[in-house]
Amino acid sequence: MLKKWLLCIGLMPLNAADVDIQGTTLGQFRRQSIQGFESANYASVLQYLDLHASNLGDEGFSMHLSGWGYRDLADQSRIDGKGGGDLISAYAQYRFPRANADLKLGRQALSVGPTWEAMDGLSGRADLRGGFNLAFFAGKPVTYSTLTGPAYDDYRHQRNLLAGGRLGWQAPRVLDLGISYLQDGRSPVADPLLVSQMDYSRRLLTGDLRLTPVAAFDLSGRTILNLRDRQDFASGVPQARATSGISEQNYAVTWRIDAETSLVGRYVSRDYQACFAGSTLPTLFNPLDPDKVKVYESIFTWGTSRPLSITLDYRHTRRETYGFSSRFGGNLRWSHAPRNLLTGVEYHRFVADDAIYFGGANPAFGLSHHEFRAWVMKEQGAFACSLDALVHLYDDKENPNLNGQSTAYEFLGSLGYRPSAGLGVSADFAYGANALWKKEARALLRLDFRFESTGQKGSR
Amino acid sequence: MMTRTWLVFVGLVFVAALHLACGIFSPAPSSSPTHPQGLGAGRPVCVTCHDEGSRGPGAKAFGAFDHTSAFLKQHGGVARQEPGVCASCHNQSSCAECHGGKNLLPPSARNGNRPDRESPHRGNFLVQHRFEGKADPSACFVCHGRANNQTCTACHR
Repeated sequence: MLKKWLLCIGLMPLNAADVDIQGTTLGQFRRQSIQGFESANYASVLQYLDLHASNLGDEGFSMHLSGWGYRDLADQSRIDGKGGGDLISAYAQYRFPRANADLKLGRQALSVGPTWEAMDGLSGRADLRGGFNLAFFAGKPVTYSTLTGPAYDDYRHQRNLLAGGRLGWQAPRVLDLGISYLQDGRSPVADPLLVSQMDYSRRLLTGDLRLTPVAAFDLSGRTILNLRDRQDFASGVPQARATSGISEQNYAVTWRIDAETSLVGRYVSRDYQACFAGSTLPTLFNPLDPDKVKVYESIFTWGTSRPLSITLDYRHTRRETYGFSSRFGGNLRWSHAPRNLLTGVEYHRFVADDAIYFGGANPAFGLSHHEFRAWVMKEQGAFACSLDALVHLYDDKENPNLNGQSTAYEFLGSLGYRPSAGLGVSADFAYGANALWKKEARALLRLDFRFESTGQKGSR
Repeated sequence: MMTRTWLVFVGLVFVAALHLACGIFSPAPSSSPTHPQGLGAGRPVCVTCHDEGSRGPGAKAFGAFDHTSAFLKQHGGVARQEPGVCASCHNQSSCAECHGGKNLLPPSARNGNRPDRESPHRGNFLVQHRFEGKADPSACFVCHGRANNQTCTACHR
């Protein structure tokens, strides 16, 4: 990991015309007491770092690097060891002066069509004549996995390619249509007899749209089609399972009633067999699960740009194998600019069908609960402080997930000092209790720094 | 002689293809890579400067980019259609705070000094996820189905 970082930093021409370096150093301290176990003490040092160099000989040429690393100084805090890190991105980019065209080469995050993946490879996009635009990508996926041994080898073998793109068309200011394709992996399995016997490759076709007949109204959404029938090994002989089909439909209607008021209605449906294709965690996201879910959601917002704003939301979820659940409530935010004060209160109620509990004393348990939150932020010169309180009250104390605790809470306070725009230090302290932690205390020291050779207009 | 003819032919085809390819690109100048003016603190609300009735980038009204609570829940669609608009203020590590393939801290802990941000997984989410996950595990799949799930395997094996 360290070698990767040093290599990338060495390749970056830091004497470039414009350089932007941002970082956050965190010292985290945590003490947890769990019923029936010894207390654990965690102390970790974390470093996030972003380097951006632009105008490298040409106005459109830039290089970007970001990642993080950590080291545990006391008990091991993560399942994958006492130290590690991740190279989030390391790519060179060229932005063409016309057609909003750009090319990126290297490690990058992709957000095209149904794809949200990290990739080592080449991507690009451009506006074409006639209102069309095109985005493409090809490379090798960055594999993050919990798998080990031969199963991980098989996983990497299958995911040997990430390629696809999106062709879009825009009717000026009214309609945005797109069709995109993703090919993730080419080989079904390295060896049918291999222990993993999982199929991680995916082929997805997505159609997306945004229709804006008038500025106050838009309809947006997408439909994802899973083109791949999954290989099933249950009988010992690979057989195709008909898992292809519509994986997701996700559509929202937004009505901006006036400059301060908007109403959003959303509908989502997912087919788990098609949606969970390529899952690396089948115990949670089982690609053989024939379940389906439908979600109806509505969000009302008032006071978008006013000191006082209100949001009310309602979400109704109906899952075939489980039943229904509804979450509704709202939040109120108030900003008092002369005193640099910002505060908010939130309340949500979660109402749900009872969950079936096999093997327990009670055949079912309830999931319904209340959620309360209140927070405040205040700035005074170079100093800043904040308080945040979150409380959950659960209806059914007999829920086995609650270990008899019908209340959970966390209080978090923070105090910060920012002597200049590019430097800030702050300290957080959190204390709470819940069904898992009898008591939890966390402290975090934070150092933010940013150096820019020229002022960027946008805030990053 | 035959080889030379083929080379000329291939060269001509290449030049013609290049000419055709260049001809299909829009001649319009690229938009600014960063927002032309600095943005103040707090959530960007485009309509405070841009006329609500006017149309912004692509086929969208400026109001479609207002960073309201509703926008936070559906920003993915806009990000896929207008990545350049997001990139004018956010770099890829900003997305990775929540959507990284491997994350060290939940965003709410990393930004504990910013309670105004509607960070996911606040407070005792380790307990809460048993309720949310029961209602709809597919909502978790987007981030934890194929990556960023090493912590999950401590219990879900």
